[in-house]
Amino acid sequence: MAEREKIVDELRLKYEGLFDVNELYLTMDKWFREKQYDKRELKNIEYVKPEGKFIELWIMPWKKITDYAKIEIKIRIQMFDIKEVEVEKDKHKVKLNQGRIQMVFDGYLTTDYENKWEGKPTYVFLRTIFDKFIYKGYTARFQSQVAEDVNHIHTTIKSFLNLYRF
Amino acid sequence: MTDYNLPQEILKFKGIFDMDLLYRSMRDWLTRRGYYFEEPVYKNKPNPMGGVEDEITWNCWRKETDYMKFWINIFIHTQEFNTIEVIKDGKKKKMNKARLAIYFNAKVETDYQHRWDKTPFLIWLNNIYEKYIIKPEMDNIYTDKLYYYVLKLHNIAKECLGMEAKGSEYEDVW
Repeated sequence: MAEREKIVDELRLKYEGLFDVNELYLTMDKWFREKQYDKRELKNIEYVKPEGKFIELWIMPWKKITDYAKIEIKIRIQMFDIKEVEVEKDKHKVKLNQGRIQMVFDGYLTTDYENKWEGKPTYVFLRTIFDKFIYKGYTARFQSQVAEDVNHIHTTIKSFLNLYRF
Repeated sequence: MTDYNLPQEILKFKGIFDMDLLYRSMRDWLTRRGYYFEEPVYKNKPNPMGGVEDEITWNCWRKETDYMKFWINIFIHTQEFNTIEVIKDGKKKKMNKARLAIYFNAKVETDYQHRWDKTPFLIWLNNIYEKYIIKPEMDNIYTDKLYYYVLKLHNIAKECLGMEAKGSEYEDVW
């Protein structure tokens, strides 16, 4: 089996106020496309409730860095009490959503995703030696790339949500 | 014969929607894309909690090449399904209110004509062919293509349900 290392563990983001759910979704999609990630949407749940909509999304885009390593970013999003409101912006009426968001970001570095080094215990041993000592510089660089990407998407979403504050 | 399974996609919704529109839009998309459409299961039973419970299974396939076949298997489960009348744009319209779950499963099936499993030598040769010769195409073209097809279908379902988190920046992929 491929080895999956958690580099970013539960980086959180909370927001309450005005925003556009669809725009937020498309902003994330756009970011992943620009950064050459492949899309993977595990869950998309929407319940219409009297107090507003409840939306839950689990997305897990991934990107191959080399034939040996790939990055996976897991984002769990929960939105509560989402209501549609009309606000006036630059003398124009705009439809937006109001509610609460909770987001959890995890970043993973998966190595040997093609399971080439898993056939025999000798291979596993060699792979570990290879990862820890010979390939150490590259592994560290991959790990920092995971952290960088997760922080970047986190900042992008934070900036996107901050736009609605003013 | 090998199956390359893709990750499952789950869509859940509770609210008011048009089941007829959802059913037709998804089926039309599949048939327009050249998928053979089968509906082996259509269960409809009254639910003691109220409304009706439906279980629908679709098995859809398309011959991609002489060696590969794309499968899209969909399971639709509705609970507390009721028909209600709503006023939309000043007109009365029949809609449905229910809890809905759609599970999308897809896979690429190879050697669907069973040409390579007749003798031990052919099985061995097929193994070599899949492991070393066709592997890059399988990983980078065929499974990828099928996955983005499923995402497009997934997006059509979201549009029909009027969900908030819909749309895709990957529309032009495949």
